[in-house]
Amino acid sequence: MSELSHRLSISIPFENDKQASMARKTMAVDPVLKSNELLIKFNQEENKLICQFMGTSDRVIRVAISNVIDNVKTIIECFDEFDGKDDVQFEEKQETI
Amino acid sequence: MTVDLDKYAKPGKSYYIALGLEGSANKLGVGIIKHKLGQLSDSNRAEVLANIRDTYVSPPGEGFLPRDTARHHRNWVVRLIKKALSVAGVKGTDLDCICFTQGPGMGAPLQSVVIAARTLSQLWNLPLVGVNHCVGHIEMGREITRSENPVVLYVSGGNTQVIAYSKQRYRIFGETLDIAVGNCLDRFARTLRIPNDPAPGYNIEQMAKKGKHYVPLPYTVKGMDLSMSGILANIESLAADMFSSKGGKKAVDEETGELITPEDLCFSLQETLFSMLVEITERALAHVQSNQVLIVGGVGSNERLQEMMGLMVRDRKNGSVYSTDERFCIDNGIMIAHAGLLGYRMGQITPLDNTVCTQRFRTDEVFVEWRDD
Amino acid sequence: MTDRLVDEAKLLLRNVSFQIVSQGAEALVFKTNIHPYFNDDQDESSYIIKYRPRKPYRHPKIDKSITKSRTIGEVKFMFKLAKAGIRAPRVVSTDYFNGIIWMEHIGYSLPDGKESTLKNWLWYLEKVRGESLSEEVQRICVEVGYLIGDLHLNDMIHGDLTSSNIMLDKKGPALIDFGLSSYSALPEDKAVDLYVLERAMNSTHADYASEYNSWLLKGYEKAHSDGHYSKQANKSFVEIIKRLEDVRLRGRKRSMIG
Repeated sequence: MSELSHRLSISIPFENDKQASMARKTMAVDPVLKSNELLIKFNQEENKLICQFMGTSDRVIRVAISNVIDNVKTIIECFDEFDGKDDVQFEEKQETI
Repeated sequence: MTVDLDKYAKPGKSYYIALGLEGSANKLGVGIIKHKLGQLSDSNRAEVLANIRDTYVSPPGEGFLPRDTARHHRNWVVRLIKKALSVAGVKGTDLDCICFTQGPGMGAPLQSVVIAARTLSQLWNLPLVGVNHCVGHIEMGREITRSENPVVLYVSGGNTQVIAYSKQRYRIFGETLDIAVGNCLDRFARTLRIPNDPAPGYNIEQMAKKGKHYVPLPYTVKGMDLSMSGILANIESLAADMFSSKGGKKAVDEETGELITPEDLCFSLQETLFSMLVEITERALAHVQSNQVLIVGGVGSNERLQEMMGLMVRDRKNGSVYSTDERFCIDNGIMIAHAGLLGYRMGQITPLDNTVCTQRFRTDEVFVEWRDD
Repeated sequence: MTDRLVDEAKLLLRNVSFQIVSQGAEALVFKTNIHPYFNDDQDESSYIIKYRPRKPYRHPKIDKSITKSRTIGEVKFMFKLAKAGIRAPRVVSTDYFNGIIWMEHIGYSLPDGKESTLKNWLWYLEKVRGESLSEEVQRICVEVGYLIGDLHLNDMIHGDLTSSNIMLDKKGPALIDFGLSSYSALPEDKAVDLYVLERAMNSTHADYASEYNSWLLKGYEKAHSDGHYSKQANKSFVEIIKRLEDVRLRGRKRSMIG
């Protein structure tokens, strides 16, 4: 097993602590497929989500970050559209999607 | 004895509403379903409040790749959920649970959708229900057609199974030993460069209607199982000869000597594959002594397959075939909402930590607690 | 079975009175006391007439070739079984063109009136008597496994092993229904044959399938170690079981994409 010598950490600020916590829980569930090549740790510090990547190469880390960012995009879109709006009746123009 | 479906009903509420998210292959579907209290029956049917879908269509000659499909789902999932809520006239507070496809399917697309499900579940404090995609098809098919205890032929891009219910499981009696029927059709469509829009199988069906000559192909039924990879290889080589620029030997019809056309190939492929499917379905019918057939899955919307199945059951006493139209046959969110809600009503909720999706999830792994016949 | 099919059969079997036994997936099965060519009033044995009707859903070309090849294949297989001493009905007469086979009748009526297939017998024990795991059941399952072992040791593949395709009577089990049969010495083909049976047992006799399957395999192994066959038999058993494990694994890996 090679050493997880490549490391990188990113910090993603959210609007509030609650959102950062939800984002952490949403993403921490999924296991990393090749755990001998990559490790991801999610930690919440107040309104920030700290993602630590440890991998065998920069390529592995690049792919992992890209994945996390993709997920964060969906999560933030959910926050923008749905946070605090569970009592809102959405109305949309009848456009075809 | 019948199962009590209302053990977990909220006091003072006379119905349940569930949101369902499907994204196991190239269709992204969002559905919202309503059940009133009590057993589902002819007079108390599930109500479809919204059922919308957006399909990732790849260019002709190409299949849909997991990465691109996942990107498509990510781009649309939140918009589709909003749209479904507005179509249904339902608010977050009206919902009882959020159901999502947990498998089987392609890993990346499944994962891109469950991210939205998990976030929304936390935001609106709603329980999650992981649903087996195949069971979703079966339950929705049963509800739409009101067929009680049919033998189910499940035919789609990734699955080919003959299923019958027994003792709280949907048991697989027969299945493909290699590739799925939808996959076989899709891959053949790619060889002939048949467009993927609206669906390769649909375009093959239209071309097959114009086919005249039957080209003999292998016929590979093994008990209640079947094999299709040999047939695909065989017809692909016929197609390759047809398009070969070297002017090599082109296939002709044995009787008339007429040149075999791409339409003839589509026709022959459908006739062969569907004959095998109908045969294994009939084998299962005979084996479990049933006379009802329910066809589900994307390939199930093929009218020739439905017609052949109809001809088969006509020769069985009191036989009947049930099928649904493309709204329910092709992957959709409403079936996930419906099957998930049945599970929810039995207390089957999926804690956040157990919501990891899985590419492999066999139909018979699901405990069908909501049935007791 | 519908009247149309029965009328069709009556037309082909003029002057033969028969009772309907069952409608299988591809064939109708009738019972009669009449021998197709001997005219002996003293003869009290009964015969099975298996009739493969035209399948209107199939393209006529597919239908014709399947009916013919399966009828011929089945008859040849039964003939070879008889030569190898593997218990199955004996062929009496055939009509390839119309898809008709006359054969010896094996089996009896169970107390619930059903034919004595392994499936019906196990179901009967399960529902009526609650004796699904008796020593008798174990003995019969081992005998069935032994019979299948014998079959495979002759490099013959049944192709559609289910508990419906095994008949029981006083002499023990017998195999029936050889429309999908083939010949092969490959461990892979034998393993698939066993896998088909294993899956059929799992889906048809869910509650006791693990016991039934282990007894079947025990009998299957016994056939290979009994010394009737060459010393290679034991080795080939090991190979087949290894293959069976592969086939099972393939099965579980299969449902990849929804």
